[in-house]
Amino acid sequence: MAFNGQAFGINEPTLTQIAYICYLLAFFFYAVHLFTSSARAVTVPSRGVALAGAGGSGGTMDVTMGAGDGVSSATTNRRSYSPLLGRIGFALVAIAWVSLTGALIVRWVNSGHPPYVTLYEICTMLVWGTTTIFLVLFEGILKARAAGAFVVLIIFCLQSYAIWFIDADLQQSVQLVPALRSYWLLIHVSLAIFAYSSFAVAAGAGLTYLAKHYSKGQLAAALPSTAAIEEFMFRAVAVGFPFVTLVLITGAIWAQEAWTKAWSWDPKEVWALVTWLTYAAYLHVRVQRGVRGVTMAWLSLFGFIIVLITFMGVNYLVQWFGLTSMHTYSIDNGAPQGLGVAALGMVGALVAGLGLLLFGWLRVKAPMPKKNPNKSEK
Amino acid sequence: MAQSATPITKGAKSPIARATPGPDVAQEQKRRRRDPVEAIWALFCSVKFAVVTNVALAVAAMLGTLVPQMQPGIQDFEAELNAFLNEVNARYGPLTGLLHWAGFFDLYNSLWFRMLVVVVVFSIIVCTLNRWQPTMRLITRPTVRTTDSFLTGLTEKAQFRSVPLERDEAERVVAAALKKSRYRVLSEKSTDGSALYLYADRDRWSKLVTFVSHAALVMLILSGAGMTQLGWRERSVVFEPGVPVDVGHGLDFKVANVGFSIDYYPDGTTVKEYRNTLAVYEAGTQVLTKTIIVNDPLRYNGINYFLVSYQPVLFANATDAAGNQLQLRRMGATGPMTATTGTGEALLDFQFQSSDNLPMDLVQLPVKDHVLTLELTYYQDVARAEGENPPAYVRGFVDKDFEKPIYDAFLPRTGAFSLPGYEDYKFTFKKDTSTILEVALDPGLGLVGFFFFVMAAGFTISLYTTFTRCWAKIVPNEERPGTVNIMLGGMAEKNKVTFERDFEKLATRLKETLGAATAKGQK
Ligand code: HEM
Repeated sequence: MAFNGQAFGINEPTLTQIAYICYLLAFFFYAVHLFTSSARAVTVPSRGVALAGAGGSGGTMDVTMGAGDGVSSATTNRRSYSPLLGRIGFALVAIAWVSLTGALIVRWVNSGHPPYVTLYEICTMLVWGTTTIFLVLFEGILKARAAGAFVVLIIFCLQSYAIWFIDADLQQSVQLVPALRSYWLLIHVSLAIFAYSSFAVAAGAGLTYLAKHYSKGQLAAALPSTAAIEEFMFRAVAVGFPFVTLVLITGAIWAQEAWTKAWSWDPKEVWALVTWLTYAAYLHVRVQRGVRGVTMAWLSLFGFIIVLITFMGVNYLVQWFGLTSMHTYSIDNGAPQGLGVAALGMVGALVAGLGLLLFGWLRVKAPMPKKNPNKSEK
Repeated sequence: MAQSATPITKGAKSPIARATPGPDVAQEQKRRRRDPVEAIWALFCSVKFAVVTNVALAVAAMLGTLVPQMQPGIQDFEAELNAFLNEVNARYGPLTGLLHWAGFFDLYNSLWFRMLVVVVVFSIIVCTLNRWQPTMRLITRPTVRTTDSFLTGLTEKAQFRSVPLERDEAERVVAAALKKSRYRVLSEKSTDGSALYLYADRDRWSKLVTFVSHAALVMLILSGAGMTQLGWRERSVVFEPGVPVDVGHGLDFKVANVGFSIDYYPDGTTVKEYRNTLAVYEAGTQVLTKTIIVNDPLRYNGINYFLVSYQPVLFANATDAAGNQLQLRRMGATGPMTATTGTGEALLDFQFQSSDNLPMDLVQLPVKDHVLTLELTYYQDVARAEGENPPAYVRGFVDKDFEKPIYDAFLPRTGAFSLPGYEDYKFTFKKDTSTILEVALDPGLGLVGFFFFVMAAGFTISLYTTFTRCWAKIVPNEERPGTVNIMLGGMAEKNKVTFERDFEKLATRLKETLGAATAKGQK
């Protein structure tokens, strides 16, 4: 076969770097797109589908029959270069996706197995998956370009980590150990990539929400309504949740074959379960209690931290805390000196964050006794 | 004529919108909370409690990944348990005892963790039972007649004034529009008969899917827990080459390791794959052979044989000058080595480990006035060609003189081996491999898988379907007799933005039909 270790005549590292640069540029274009657009400058239907513009939640149609056309979406339509910037951002992300896909295929063919094994590969796959979900779900289905800058920011950070923080030696692909030589590797890890990427996209929407919530003026005006962002976030979680459920199922099936036991409380398994529980909590809080707004945005970010620990952090946890895990194989993550402190800090922060979230939620949502019963709420 | 649109405040989240128009369930619950049993029931029903226990479970599970966990089954072996505790003692010092007492080193089997799981399961059951009635009422006996304030409080609404239609005709048009959007429609008249109310809903069954998925979750946990109670598991069973093994548990068949092979990556040292051929014997006759790999166990009569590891063994043979076979014995043992093959060779299975963690064993051969001792260390990574002697490092001793080996080198690559000064006694070694299998009965795995699958499907369905409801009220317009006013509103429990789009389509369609009817009426 005439495979020369390249795609489009370019080798893997170069393809990866092209993607990296495209993400950086895309972030700027998306960001400028946001700052130059505002509710006044873009064409926004006066009401109704609030997806792309700055509509509000809910809609009212009021028609008196025999009185001519009831509604017209007459909006002043000023020209703006902002949509063009948005399209350029989109094009850059698309280029990055193509380039990274090429890099991953090259890597796959060269090593003879899916690039699903080392920390570098997993991190890069997460970058790829997040891009894919963003392009399909946000750019394609939901027309949620406004969240682009935030999602791409997350993507850029992830890839920066892969490229800069992982030793060059450890970026090389490794040989598969016997336990990994199974088609389940492809199935199980692919599902995980899609699940966790959806959560990354949801976290991007969460950031968008926070930007809307905490900013005023141009940026806030340019972003979609809180209800719309909220829905983007929910949609991304709704994609991820079934996937993460399937990750657990396929993992159990594979473990039963390769490790003799469907469930053995391996750290990686446990964290996948924790991820599942976290997003189950997210859905319950939302669906059953009808919690909306900034709480959900923070929750989506919190969930994504859990995802990162599950997908990548477990490797470090195993090293730091002297655990045994069958999932990390012989993968060395680089020098762990001084990281023990960081690990403790991270865990502390996690627990504190969790506690605060829970506390805040319990306090805020618990019905407070009214101090002044005469003062009506509204 | 000017557009008389008087938009009702947009985007205001109405507290009514989330409430059910029917009898106030929350009120009912509040009243019940006084009874202590009811109070516990109510606690288990509350979503808050469910989320708190859910989070507690997640945190507990997480803790188990921050503290080293014992190997399963280690508690039954005091020496191993102590070794483990010593090891963690280095890390946790005085805390070790406390952590051990609190079950942190075997967290997932600890009582408190199990209690937590029980609480979660219980809360799912209680919560489901509790929601059954109100949900069924919502589905089977919806409130058709609503108040005006409820209607105007809905996030999605449309008003059509002065529609020149008879009330019943208007009802037909509205119902048709709703039906076209896949709604089922119910109607009722007001008590005085003047106003007409319509109720429409879509995907009622999706409310029931939640019950199915949560029931499956409960069954999944229960069947999973039951499974571990009913099954059994033999870890690290050594299968020496050619020796049929009965693992006990009343099995009426034996399994033997009848072949082993291993592949390396091109670097020559990284193991790519190893294979073990197993033969199943029933009443002495071979009924089946299968070559298993790490990812493909043998399943026979419901029992699984998993390939876990392998270790080298040597077939050792010793002869005297006349060529008679001599019996070898393991150091420290009294009789000759019993694990021998049909040809009388002794099976050396490396029961010890060298200081470098390499497989090691010691065999002895009593000769005339002396005892010869061979300490064999097996170097797996040292390459030897087919037909050459195995890569074993030998130290030979005479009698109790273990300080001064009389031989200290690898086995020669070819030919028989003898110790200097004792050339009459020849040793030959043939290498082979024992495999280490895990043998287990895991009953009910299929059942667990089934519930898992139902649960996943259920969650997916409920995430992608939305119970959607619309209400309409048709009243005669007092100011313009012969016309009616129509108020239409709707809400969805999830996917609200999508519903917004849907509702707009519905309202636009209705507007067009009504417009057409109006045009006809004006002619
Ligand atoms: C670890 C345990 C649990 C998991 C993984 C889980 C998962 C889920 C998921 C994925 C949904 C679908 C969300 C949606 O419809 O959009 C859901 C809905 C729901 N859950 Fe759970 N759940 C768990 C425990 C509970 C408990 C303890 C309760 C009772 C308090 C509960 C009550 C409900 C209800 C009532 C809904 C329906 C929401 C609706 O569709 O209207 N769940 N659950």
